[in-house]
Amino acid sequence: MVTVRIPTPLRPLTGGKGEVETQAGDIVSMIESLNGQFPGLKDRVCDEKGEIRRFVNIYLNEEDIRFMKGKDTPLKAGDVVSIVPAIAGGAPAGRQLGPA
Amino acid sequence: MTAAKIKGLICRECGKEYPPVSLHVCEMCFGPLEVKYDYEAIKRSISRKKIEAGPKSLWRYVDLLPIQGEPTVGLYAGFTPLIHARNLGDELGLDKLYIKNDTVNHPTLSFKDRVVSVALTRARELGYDTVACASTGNLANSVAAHAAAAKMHCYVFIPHDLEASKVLGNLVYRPHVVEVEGNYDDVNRLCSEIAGEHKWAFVNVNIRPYYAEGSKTLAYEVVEQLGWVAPDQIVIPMASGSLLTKVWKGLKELHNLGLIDRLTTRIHGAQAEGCAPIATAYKQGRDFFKPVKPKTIAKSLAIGNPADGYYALKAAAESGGAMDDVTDEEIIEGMMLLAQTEGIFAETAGGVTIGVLKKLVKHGVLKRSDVTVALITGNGLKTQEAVVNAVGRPTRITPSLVQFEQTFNLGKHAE
Repeated sequence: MVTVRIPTPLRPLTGGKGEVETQAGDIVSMIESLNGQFPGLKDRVCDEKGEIRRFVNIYLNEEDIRFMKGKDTPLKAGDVVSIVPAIAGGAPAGRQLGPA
Repeated sequence: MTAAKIKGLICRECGKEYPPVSLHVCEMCFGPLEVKYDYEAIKRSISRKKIEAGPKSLWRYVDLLPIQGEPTVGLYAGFTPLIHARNLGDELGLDKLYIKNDTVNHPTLSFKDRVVSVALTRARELGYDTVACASTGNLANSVAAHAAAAKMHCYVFIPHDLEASKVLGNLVYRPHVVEVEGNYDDVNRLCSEIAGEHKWAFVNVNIRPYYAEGSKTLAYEVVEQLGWVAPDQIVIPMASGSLLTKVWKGLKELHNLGLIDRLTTRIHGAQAEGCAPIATAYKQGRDFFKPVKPKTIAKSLAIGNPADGYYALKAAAESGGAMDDVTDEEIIEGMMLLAQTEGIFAETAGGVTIGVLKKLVKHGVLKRSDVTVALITGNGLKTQEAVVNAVGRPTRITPSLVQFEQTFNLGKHAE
């Protein structure tokens, strides 16, 4: 099993869960598998061509997958994958603030 | 110009549109949002003549800035000197070198007075009474000063290890100065969380789409001051990469609106070796970067995870520009060279720009006859620690003519 950390903006899709488990041999199949469990997740993480969105960072055991094999980076049992939107330092945001 | 020039916000990645509120991230794809203008309306209203008749501040370009009414904050920011740097040009082998001198921006001596004037005017339009920022120093100084003048509540968040003058340059305006134990990236991350909890105008978080547009005025001014001609080369310091991205955008806007006839400017980015995630990606031919832990005397550029790094790489590539970085020693040399040739005391970021300018000449990227502009964005009096051991000491004497002449080997007492 691979553990996947889900950022706050995507938790409405996972029923509020911040960590989920899945079986997958690489990042692409991990996203497909997650999308099976939590429909709509793939659209948020990938663009219409299936490429991981530029402002979504995916880390395998704390290393950015762009510096490995990107979405073809292999996964093995016990790996921890984090999905982190690259918004101003990585903290959750993206909702409307303020009086206007 | 009517209030209709802002159409809304648009995601730079997926194109999803939003109303023009305080929002900076696309809810769908997490891409950054940008102001969408009605360029057709702007084109009908704007002209060189109208701009030239405007105020001697960045507000002469109000038609291209994201506010809906009249400016209310920072009315005297911008329109800084563009200096033909003949001495420095002789030194480096450039006949047409110009320094855009934002070390004398009003009121806090850095280019941040531009972005803050726009951000606070917009924040007021959106109904905020409290402003805040995450800063490496200059931005905090500018937010604090403008908030004082605008009678707004103010919180500034800075890393714990800033230069003394940048800390004092906040405290004097009496904002809440929050020193965070961590580097800028930690401060920024904290501010994103605070912005989620408190209804404040964080100029470089939830107001960022408006704030960042203020940087375009550097491009507009350079072009107007050169006689409505875009330079051949511009060298720009990079922290988040936003300034470089917006200068390129500003030039393209002038071209698209017909205010300049041709645009062949190459945009070059400068970083410090101890924090060069964008320049490193450029050198490796990548369009993404690896965040770094900053370690450089150029603290105003010490952003290890640059928010606009991708767009800066894209702007440099689109324009045919290059990127490079310099060591701390080269930064100090650059500061001293600029001071001693042109009489301009720039902060460490200016040393970075001059250092990289020198390298670009050496590598043949900049040619002698090119109209070249270096953006000098902050004042050296704020980063005195960097040069204190390089500038030497005064010569001390007693109040005696004899001792003076002996010491300097002058007049009757010369040997």
